[in-house]
Amino acid sequence: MASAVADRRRRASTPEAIEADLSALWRDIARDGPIGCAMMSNLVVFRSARAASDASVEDLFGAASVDAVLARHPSRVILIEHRQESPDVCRPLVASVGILAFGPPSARYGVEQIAVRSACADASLPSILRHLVRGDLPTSVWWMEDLAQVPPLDVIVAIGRQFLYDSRGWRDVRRGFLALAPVIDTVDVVDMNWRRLLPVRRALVRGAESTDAGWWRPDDIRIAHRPGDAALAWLLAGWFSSRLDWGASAMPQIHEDANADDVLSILIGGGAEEFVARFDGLRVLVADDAVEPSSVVAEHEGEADAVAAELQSLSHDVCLHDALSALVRHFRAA
Amino acid sequence: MADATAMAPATPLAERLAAGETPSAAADPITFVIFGGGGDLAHRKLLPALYNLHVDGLLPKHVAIVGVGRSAMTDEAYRAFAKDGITKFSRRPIDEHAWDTFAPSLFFVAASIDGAHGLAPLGARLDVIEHERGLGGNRVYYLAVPPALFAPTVKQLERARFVDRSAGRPFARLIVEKPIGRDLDSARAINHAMADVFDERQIFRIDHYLGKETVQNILVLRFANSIFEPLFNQKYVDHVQITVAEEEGVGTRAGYYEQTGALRDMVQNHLLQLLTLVAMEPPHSLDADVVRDEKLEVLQSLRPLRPETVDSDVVRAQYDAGFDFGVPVPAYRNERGVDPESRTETFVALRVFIDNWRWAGVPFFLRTGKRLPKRASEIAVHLKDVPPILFNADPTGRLDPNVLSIRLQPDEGFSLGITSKIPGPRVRVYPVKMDFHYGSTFGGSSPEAYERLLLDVMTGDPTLFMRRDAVEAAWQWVMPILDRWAALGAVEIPRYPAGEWGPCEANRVIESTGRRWRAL
Repeated sequence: MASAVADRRRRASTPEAIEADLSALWRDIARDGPIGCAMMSNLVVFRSARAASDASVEDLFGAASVDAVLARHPSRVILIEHRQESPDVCRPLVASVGILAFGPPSARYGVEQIAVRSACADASLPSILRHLVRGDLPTSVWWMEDLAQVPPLDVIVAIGRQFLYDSRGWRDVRRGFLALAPVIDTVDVVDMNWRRLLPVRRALVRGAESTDAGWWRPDDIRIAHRPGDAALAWLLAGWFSSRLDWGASAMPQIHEDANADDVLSILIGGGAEEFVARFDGLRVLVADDAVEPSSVVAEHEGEADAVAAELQSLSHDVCLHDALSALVRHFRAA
Repeated sequence: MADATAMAPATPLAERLAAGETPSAAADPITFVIFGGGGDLAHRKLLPALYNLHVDGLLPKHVAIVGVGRSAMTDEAYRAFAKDGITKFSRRPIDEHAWDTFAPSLFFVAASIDGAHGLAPLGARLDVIEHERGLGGNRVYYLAVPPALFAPTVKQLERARFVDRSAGRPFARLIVEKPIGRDLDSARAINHAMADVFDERQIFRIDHYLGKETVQNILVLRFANSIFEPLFNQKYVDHVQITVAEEEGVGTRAGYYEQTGALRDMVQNHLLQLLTLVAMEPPHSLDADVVRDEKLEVLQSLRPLRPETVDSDVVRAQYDAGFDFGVPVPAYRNERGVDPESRTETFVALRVFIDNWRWAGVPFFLRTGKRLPKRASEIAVHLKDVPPILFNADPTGRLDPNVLSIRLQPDEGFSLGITSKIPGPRVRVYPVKMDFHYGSTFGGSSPEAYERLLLDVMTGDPTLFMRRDAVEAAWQWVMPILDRWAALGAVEIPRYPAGEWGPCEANRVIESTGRRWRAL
């Protein structure tokens, strides 16, 4: 189990004084007893500021989800709240630094947090990030925005080795996947929704092993999803398409079921060879006329556990890459 | 009136007690004569360094520091100038008590190196100061002046009979700052002019990088630990990257920089010196000349560059407009004092080979530049990959290679990147660091490079200074680059936006070998 936050120190800073202020915070927190600096990676957390904000930049640290991830995956967090401006406008940066301490008094460790509020041209962002990241650590970019609303900025994505986002709740799935087009071939992409899909994919692989239906075709498959889970359904469709070598225009039938209890239900084939998989968020129940019903249980993990697990996995997910590529091709062709 | 604490002859008792002791401080009374004593280097570096040596009790008990410049300045005005520099640039806040005991040793003399008797006023004043303070005539002449003035100043020192080449006492020592010349011929001319007046043992050529704690620690790291040295060779090292990155632009140094550029300003001296330290063979002793012989051997083993290898292995570039931590900054050509058509390089990247048994086939990638994303200097020794089996079998997730990173600035220290299992029931691996920071390990602030170097001059230890043959060997290796660039004429050179790690052409130098520049 991850530690809870044991202590928290923050102070307002300036761009020039960030490192010195962090050092001062370390000295300050060390007065209460020994503490180590834990740092597995740089975690760049991006948020978009849609309007000028009068709130203190320290408020940027408020996201409990980030703290929970840090407890599991200690990182140097660089939180960027950015408001896009025209190239000739550049307002002064506002910065804040903090240290979060975890662990019992006998084995305390702390992580560094840096928050920067920027209102400049997008092109200015790399000069901020390159300055702040520790180059000898892996860098992950966590895009906290809806990609359909705020597409990823190339200049930020390029900083990282890993680009992490969550497609759950996207309001415009098509725009969301198309926004990933420039990204998927340049960095390791992590979609938290893809992780949720894992038990479904396992169940379908098992189903495919036992079916006599031969090759599954787009027309054979119908996917229903509950409201808010369209991206999950499309990820599944992209997976089918890439694994089964369908053309760009061929996709299963996907529809939203406003009254559905299940997150996803997948119906393949029909009649005597019908295969049904229902995913309720906890397990996938498989019903196949040919074999006994079975289930695949989803790994029980919180959001922070899931994000931390992905941050700790630095390998390239070929299946996700291929599924996203298929979706991008499909939506471009549509 | 003579100083009441003027040096007394050592008593037999004191001599007996001191026998076998390692001197912790310079003991001989000394007069520091700083030509350019009213200049920027003295203000920012030399006077704060001398003050800190005084605070640490490392200056001789009897000392005088005499600034020399063209414009007249009273001693009081010079002390105020020094106090201002110490207040602004010293690594520790000024202590009034320490200052009160330091200030009386500061003097200023207006003198010129023009004319046959230009230094006569200086000689007269030094005689008085040394007599009054009981100084024995040991002198250190620091030339904090442009290189073009090295030869004439040294000539004047000879003409004024300030220099005795004998090894006896009182001694005269000369300190000169890099750059020593702007090419091999001019370096030889300067060295020749100095050698006409001073013996090589009396000449201390400063490369302040060599005074940094971490740079000194390179030899300790390599030769005081059994774990690293066996790996430092072509069998285990894939490649080495040396980066000296500056965040600032040309600032107020445009006049100097326009004539110099990054190759002369950084590569010929700092980067090649770092290269020699990381690549040299173990010396058989720490004697200055033994260490410097080994460094020279590295310079002489550098694979000579030909015009075509200059084109393929050396990239120069100039910064364009961009951003410094989000703030727009101008292009080099739009900086004050810079020619709008300037072709001066503000960035250089090179691929270098050392053709000896130890390093055969191992590329050394060097880069330096202005207006890069951060001020950071590092030597990174990249070890070879483990075989693609066991934990490195997944072709989509190859393990990071082990990297020994020696950080020179900021946050001096070193780290070793290793692969570790993530705690948990499954076998998952992740790159982690074993990290050493000078600041958090030893506490306090490390002495500035100039403190160590000035102390070494006072004690007569030239280990951390460049010998004539090494300076000329470095120029000799650099000359094909300068010659090739001169032959190409006024061609456009690549640009890179301020705030980025150089131009894409620099990536080509390393990526063509299947490697990548390390982010800092």
